[in-house]
Amino acid sequence: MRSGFLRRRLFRRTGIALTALLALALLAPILITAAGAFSRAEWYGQRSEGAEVDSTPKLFRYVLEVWGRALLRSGQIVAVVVPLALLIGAPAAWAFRRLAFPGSRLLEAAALVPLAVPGVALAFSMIQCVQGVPRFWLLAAGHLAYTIPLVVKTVGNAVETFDPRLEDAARSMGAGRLETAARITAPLLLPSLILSALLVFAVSWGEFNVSFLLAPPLLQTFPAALYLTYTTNSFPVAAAATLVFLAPVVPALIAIQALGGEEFHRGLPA
Amino acid sequence: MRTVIDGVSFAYGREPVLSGVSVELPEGGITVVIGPSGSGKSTLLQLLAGLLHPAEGRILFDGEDVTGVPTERRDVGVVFQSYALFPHLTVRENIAFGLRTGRRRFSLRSSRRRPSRHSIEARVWDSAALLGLEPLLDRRPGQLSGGEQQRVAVARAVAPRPSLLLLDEPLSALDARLRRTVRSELASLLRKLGTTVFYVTHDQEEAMLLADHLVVLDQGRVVQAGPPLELYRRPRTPFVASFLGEANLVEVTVDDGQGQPLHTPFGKLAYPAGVTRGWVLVRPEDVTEDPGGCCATVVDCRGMGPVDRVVLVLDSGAEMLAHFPPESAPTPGTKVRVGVRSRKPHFLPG
Amino acid sequence: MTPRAHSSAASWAGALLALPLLLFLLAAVAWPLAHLVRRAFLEDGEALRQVMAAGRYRTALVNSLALSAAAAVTALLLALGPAWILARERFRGRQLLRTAISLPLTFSGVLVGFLIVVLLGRIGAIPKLIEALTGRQALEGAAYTFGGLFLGYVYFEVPRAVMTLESAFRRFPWELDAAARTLGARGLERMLRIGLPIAAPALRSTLAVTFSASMGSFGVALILSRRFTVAPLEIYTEMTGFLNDEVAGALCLALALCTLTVDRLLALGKRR
Repeated sequence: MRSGFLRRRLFRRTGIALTALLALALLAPILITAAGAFSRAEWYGQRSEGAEVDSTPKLFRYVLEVWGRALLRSGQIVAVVVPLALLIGAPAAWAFRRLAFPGSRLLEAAALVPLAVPGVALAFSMIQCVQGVPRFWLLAAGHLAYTIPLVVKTVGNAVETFDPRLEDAARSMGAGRLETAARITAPLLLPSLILSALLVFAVSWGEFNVSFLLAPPLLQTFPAALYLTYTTNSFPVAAAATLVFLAPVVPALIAIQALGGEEFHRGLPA
Repeated sequence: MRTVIDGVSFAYGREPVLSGVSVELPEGGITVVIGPSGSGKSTLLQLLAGLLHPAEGRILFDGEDVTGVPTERRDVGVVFQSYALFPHLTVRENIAFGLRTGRRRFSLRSSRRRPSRHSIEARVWDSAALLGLEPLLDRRPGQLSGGEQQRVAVARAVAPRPSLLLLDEPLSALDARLRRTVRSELASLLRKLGTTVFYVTHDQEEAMLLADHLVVLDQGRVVQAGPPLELYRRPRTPFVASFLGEANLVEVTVDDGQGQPLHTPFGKLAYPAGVTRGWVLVRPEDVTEDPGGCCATVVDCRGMGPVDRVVLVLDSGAEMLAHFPPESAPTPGTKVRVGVRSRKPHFLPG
Repeated sequence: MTPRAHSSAASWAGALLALPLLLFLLAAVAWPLAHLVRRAFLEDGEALRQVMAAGRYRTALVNSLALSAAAAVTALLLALGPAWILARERFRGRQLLRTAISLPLTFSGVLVGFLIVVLLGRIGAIPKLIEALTGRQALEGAAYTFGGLFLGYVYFEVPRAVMTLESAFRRFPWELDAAARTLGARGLERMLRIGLPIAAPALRSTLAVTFSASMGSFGVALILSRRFTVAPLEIYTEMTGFLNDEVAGALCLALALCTLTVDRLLALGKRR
């Protein structure tokens, strides 16, 4: 007579097993890549770079030497894009939800438009019509176009669930406007700001489409360098470079998960 | 349908919610389960419905153990607290839903094959008419008021004429005034249907109005069960006494425990042998002005409309609440003599 | 939450706060895109006509559409089960699985392409495994076929689909399912009559998200497509190889239009 509940338990177990299988399938290539970087076996072929990379530490040192500038470049871009995205996007998100002005809804929708435009198209059109601007700032602009929508959505959601009556309560107890902002509003919105920063970091660090097209060949970002290792270097070098790329991003992802980042479901542009 | 809950226990993770609960539902009658939040009454309802599975114990429908039978095969109808109406279906389709499913009844009564389309429409119409929903049949739940949604929820649950009807605080989402009117309509509808009903509420008035059999639940256990007036007049614990209405409980200690009649300010009272302490229960409506009674000082008097609510302090120091006839308005500070109406005060062993 | 009425001073403050965003959008997005559209229509839309006529461009667009659609549907089907389990059940290791599945969200297309090559390239893991187990050679270089690109898109999209569906399932009103059970509906019937209609908007938006992700995907195609082409790739070659700006621009426009149309179509069904 317990068939109904037994069947449900079976479904549950099977479902969990299938989910685990999917996770494993998704992780498998990463694990193989890591193996490629850390093992000494030669099943993937010769290391064309020769003795420079015949041991694991030498491998990573090689990657950092050859592609260190790209790494630096990515770091510079991220250091500029994260604060700018927050500065441009967060106040606007607040304004959209709490200080609506005519056209605010239109502007909010417009802010999300870049997400529907393929990166290639945007990069291409940017190059076309903006001639005198240094490439670095064009690059930053491209990154911003794809990260500001994330900030607007994330902070916007937080502002929407923020009850203005909390501020009223604080004011009724005698707190001034600034004090209310500092002691009530800011702490409650801080998680969404941190989450936004993490999201912007993750997207900007891994952004390829726009960067590949906009950056001049000598000053590529790291994802573009990755592409070069995939096409010109041997497997261990490519694997090591991939791991270097992933190192800052994985903790960021874990932090995003912990903070409940729903807006990251779109992930990076392909 | 004869329904029996036998020694049922349920825990949520490691937190026990119900322990050893046994209830027998009178066939064709309305059983009301009442208790504070967290007492487990909604859980008990879900166990009857089959949405949860008890850790211990059994549930019997007409003598058959249905504990392992999933919800969709049990012959029950449920009215949820939040109504749970299907938003993408019209009222008509909502009501007809249970008539169109491939349900196999588990009870041993007549095997009912799936009704024809014509009889489905007739049944939908009847159910809607029972609740005055005829003009709303083609609307969607989103277009209805709270009261209308509640009626649709009831109509949907009764349309298949289940053998057991479960209602989970169906009126709690309504405002107080609406609740009063819907309450009496619901009561007469349930009696007219004659189905066995299991009704969960925290409202004492609702319970007294609806119940043929009343069960008081506290922290997952049955504290007392029986006819509502029985529980009201002779509660077994102070909890039941104060839950079912305002209660004056005067604590008394008996020195010798010999079974001698106890002298209370309100007359002699017998208590069971071997009991050394307990409470005496006096309901506010039973306190009256009595020249032969004991002395008390009026502390406060508030006209409530149907009665005057009077707070008294007896000479012995005990505080009492009394309901005096309206506009008798004893002045605070004055002394009165009070006694208990003809009924003997009830003793609760401690 | 109902918006509160506020003074015009507050509106001015709002407009001021949003001004940087407006300026940025105008300068960095609207202006370049407008320029793009204008150039595509130069000379009576000569470039556009070239693009829409048969040939390499049309093929590229059709490839993009077909692959993206197929991958979106496949990803959705693969994601249904895991999304349900993650949303509904509590078990040890749930957070771990969730993190594992969402890890690929941080991979850009290039990385995904590389991973497919790791699995199915000329010296990929899977062909090696097959050879070790059966002694036969199979699937070498499969990464560079249509199948390989398809797999790349699916790998790319499954995490997105799972995460989007999971949050939709979590918001699903489960009491409706319980109500359907009390009315006698068994599993399949419940899913078809209650579950799917209510989850349909979420399914549609998942499809839209995954579809547009693949349509614009560049990095994956760059690595994996050797013997055929997709639209973003064509744009790239026109731009850098042939310096044929008008055609590249027209292609961009066509690509954007296709993506937007499908997106709108999926959203249209929502309005009931």
